[in-house]
Amino acid sequence: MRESFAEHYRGLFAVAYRDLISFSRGRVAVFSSLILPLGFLVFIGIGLDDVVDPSAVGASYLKFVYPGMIAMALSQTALFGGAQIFWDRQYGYLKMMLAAPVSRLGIIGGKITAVTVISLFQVAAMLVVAPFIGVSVTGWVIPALFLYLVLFSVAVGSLGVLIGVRIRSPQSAQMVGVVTFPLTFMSGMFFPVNSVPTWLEVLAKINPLTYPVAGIREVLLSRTDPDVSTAVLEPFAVHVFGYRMGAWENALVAAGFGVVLLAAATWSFSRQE
Amino acid sequence: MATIQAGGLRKSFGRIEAVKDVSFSVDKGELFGFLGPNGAGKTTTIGMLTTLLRPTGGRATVAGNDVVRDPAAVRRSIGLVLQESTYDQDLTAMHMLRIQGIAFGLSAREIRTRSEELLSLLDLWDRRNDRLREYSGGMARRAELARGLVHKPEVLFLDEPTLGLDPQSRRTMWDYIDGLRRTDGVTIFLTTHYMEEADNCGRLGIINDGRIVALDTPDRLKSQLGGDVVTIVSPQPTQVAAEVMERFGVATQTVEGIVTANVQDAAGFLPELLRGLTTPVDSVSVNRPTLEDVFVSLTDRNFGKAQNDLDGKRS
Repeated sequence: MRESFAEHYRGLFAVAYRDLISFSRGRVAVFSSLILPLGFLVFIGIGLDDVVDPSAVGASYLKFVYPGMIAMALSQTALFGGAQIFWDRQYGYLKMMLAAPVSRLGIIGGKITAVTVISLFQVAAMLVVAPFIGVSVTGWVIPALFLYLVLFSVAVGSLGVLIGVRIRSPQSAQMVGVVTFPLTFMSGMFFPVNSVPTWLEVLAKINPLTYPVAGIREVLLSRTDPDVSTAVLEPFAVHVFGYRMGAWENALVAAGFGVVLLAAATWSFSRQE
Repeated sequence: MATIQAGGLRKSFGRIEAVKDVSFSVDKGELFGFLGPNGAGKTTTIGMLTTLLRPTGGRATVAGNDVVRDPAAVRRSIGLVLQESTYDQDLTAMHMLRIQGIAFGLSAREIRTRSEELLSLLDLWDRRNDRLREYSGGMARRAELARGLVHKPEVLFLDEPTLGLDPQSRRTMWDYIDGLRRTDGVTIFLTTHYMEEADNCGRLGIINDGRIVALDTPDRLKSQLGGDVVTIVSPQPTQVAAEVMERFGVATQTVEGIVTANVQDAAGFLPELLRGLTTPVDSVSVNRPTLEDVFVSLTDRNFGKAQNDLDGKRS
């Protein structure tokens, strides 16, 4: 199939525009997407803060779990947002895009662009509370965090689209939850992957989300004084066969994961009628 | 060269053959009606012509482009109003046209002028910023028509566009569509269950069980059926049909308990029928053949019946 560049970006713009307008017009959805992650943070973070020994997680539990909560909010938004393509088909308006001169990759790109923008907006709201937790988001932390969040959203959004394209009935839309659960809970969002039983550690290290989660945490906490220094960062770094994954390697895993999933989603979508 | 050309089109879904053999051509500026009972393959055929479905066999070109080899070129030249609703209820008509305009590569200025033009003509301009949720069925359908026309398509596919609309809305839509065809030479491919709409078409293709069974102008289809149509209403339709066959050697069709027979000369046949028939009869009437009769004789199905089925499904 011959596809020009214009067919990619027109599809991307049209779909991203639609999804963002649609999101912004649902006031309840906007409000809950901003409030829910903060609620989680307050109840889990503060609730467990006194219970968990700081030496086990490298910082106070609240600080430890804060980047994890950001990653969780992001993955929920991106997964469900991507899988929304199932409902686009169900309600019929996907057909109009399929009959327009736009590429399949463009349509998927538009969905992922929209979920990325929405999740960044959500993270921005969560970053407002950073000073209260004692996390400093300044200087190079901002662009590095931004890069991570985008990579993370694209990867998880592509996974969402892939699931949304494969599912055929509203009943199997439950699949999204089934996939989200292990992906989020075995990614080091809530506990350090190095200090758990071996079987869980192995599962966590197979989970590609573990790496960007560790990366987001390392970036976000790296300038947090006074109790976090390089030495204290170590307990939540991820080691693969004894090799310590640095910020760049973690970003690379996220990027690779994203490319593979985006290709899989596009391929799967293009084969369908 | 014909604007739409289909040759031996086939489409199977697994073991089900939805379209078995469809060939026809539609000229530029023609209003072509595509009729058939539900499940005969109309929507599947439209799906193939609009590149939404890949044909299993045969080939088709739309506006000079092959639907399989160059789907993007086909998509650029077509507008689409589908049977099912295809809009997001939380958006407005303006959003809908803008999204479509972006997808077709129109500039912001073109989108603005086209939207104003179309929405004004279709009586929606005052409501352009209301959510589609707040529109009546007729308004939503007109908004979908406007969306199908933003990019000035050469060919317009209308799959039951006026289904369930009040006569007023149907009139507004048809006046506009007919104008497009006359002034801009837009080719229109229509499926409908409304007799008047079918009667207005330049030519009709009738599809039954995945095959084209008739292809001609409405007038010629009616005269091919020939003679008169005798309609008999009886409490025992099966017996009436059997008796008419037995005594007079005339074949009948029974749809919904109403028996119709196609005869050469009703004036001579009627007295004979009334004298000879022993089964009780409520009424007998004679008409010139209508498209309804053509449809019934070709598909053994009733035009209006199909309509009722669909209305039932929608509500």
